[in-house]
Amino acid sequence: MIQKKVCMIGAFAVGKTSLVSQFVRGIYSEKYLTTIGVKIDKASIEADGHTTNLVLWDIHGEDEFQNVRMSYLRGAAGYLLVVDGTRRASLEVAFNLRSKVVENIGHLPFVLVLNKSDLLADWEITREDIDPWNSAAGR
Amino acid sequence: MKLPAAVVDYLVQLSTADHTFAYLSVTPEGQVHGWWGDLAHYGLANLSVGDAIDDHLFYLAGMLPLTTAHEVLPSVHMTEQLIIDTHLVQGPQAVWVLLFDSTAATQKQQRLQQKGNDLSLLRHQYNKLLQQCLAQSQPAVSPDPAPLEHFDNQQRDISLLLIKICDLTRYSQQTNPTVTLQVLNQYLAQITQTIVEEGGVINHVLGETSVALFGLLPSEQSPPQQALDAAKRILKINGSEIKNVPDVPGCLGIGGGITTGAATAGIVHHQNRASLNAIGAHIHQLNQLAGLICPNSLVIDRPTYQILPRSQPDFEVLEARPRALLPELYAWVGSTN
Repeated sequence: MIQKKVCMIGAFAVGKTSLVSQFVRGIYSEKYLTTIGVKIDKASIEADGHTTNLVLWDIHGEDEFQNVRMSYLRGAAGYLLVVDGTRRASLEVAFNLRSKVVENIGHLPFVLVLNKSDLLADWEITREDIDPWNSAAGR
Repeated sequence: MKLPAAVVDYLVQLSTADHTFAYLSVTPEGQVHGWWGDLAHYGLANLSVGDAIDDHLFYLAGMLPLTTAHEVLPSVHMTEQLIIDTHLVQGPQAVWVLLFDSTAATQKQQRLQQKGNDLSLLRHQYNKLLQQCLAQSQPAVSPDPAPLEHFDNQQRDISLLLIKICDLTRYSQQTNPTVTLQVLNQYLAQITQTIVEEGGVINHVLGETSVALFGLLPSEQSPPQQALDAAKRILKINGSEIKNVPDVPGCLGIGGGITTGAATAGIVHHQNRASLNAIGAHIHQLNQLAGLICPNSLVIDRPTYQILPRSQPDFEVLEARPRALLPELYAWVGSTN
C-alpha cells in the first residue's frame, strides 16, 4: 500500500482545517476554531487503479503568535499552500511560507489553493496577484 | 554547560511533573529497542524490540533518521483528550523519543489565541467595510451623510496620531520634486503599514504630516495605547531604510503627537468623494501640537497621558508650550540607538 504524507500550511483562518474536515469526514462548520500544533487525519484515494493512503497534516496557521515549524514537513510528499481569497495578506504569508519550505526542506511539490470561492465578491486577490506563482511553476 | 546534580534533578522534575512522561529508544532507522515511563497513557502497548516506531506512533513516519541533533513536533493532536509534544534527540547509538502530554497547555493556548485571531479577523472586516464606504461615489451634495453605521452612531473615544517627517520641506528645497516624492513615498509605505498593523486608520496625508485615527476598529487595547505603540514603532524608522535618495543632514527625522478625547466620526461626501471625518475638541489641538513636534520625540496631551499609567514614567511635562494649549502636554524622547 502506498502511503503519502501531505501537509496543509498557510496563514491563520484560511480554512485548512475545514478543507481536511470536508475531505475526510464530509463535514463543514461555519465556526472558526484556531488550530494549535497539528491535527493528523488519514484518508484513502483511488488513482490509476491504485489505492493510496494519505496522511494529512493540518498544521496550525502562521500568525503573530505562532510560526510554522518546518519539522512538521519532514517526510512530506508534498503540501497544500492555502490562501484565503478574501484576505490579501494571506497570499503574502503563503509566499513567505513557500520560501521557508524551499530553504529548510527543499523543492517539495505543492498546490496553491485559493479558498473561499463562495465569497468571490469579497476577494482581494486577483489573477495578476498569482501570476508570479504561475511563472515560478513554468506555466 | 555542566549543571549540579540537584539542578538537573529539579529541571527533570519541572519538565515532567505536569506532563505525563514516557520515552523510547530507537535505532537511527526507527526500530524500537527500549521503552520507559507511562507508555499506557500514550496508548503504547505490546511493544516489541525491533518494531518499527511508526507502527506505534504513525506520525513519526519519514522523520528518521534524524538530520539534526534534535527535532520537536509540538502539540500533535492524537485525540480530543490527548495532545503530545514529541522530542527526538540524537544519541551516540540511538535516537531518544520523548513524549510529554501537552493537552492542558495546548488547550489554554488555544483559548488565548482564538481571541487574538478572532479580533484580527474582525479588525480586517471592519477596515474593509470602512474602505468600501470611503470608495463609494455619492452625489455632489449627499442628503444622507454616513455616520459609521457599520460600527455605531455614538460618540466614541478616539486617539489621533500625527506623524511628522521633520524638515521634509527643507529637504524638498535642496533636492528636486521627484526625489522628494520618492522619499515621501518610501516613508509613507512604512508609516501606513505600521498604523494598519496597530489597528489604526489613516485619515489624511498632507505635506510632511500624516494623521491616523485609533479607536474605530475593534481592539483589546485602548486607543491611546494603540497610538503609542504605533508611534514608537514609527519613530524607529530611520533613514538607512530609505533607499537611493540623497542625504541632507538634519532632515527627515520622524516625530509624533497624540491627542485623545470623545469625537464624532463619520463619512462625509463632497464632490463625489467620500472621506472619513472626526469632530472633537482634541482634533483642533492636534494641529497646534504639530508645531511642537521634533525628530525622535513624541508629544501627547493630558487625556492620553492619563490613560497610559504604565508609560507615564517615560514622559516629562512639556514646559515650552503655547499658552493657547491650556491642558498640559507631555513629551517622550526616543532612544537614539
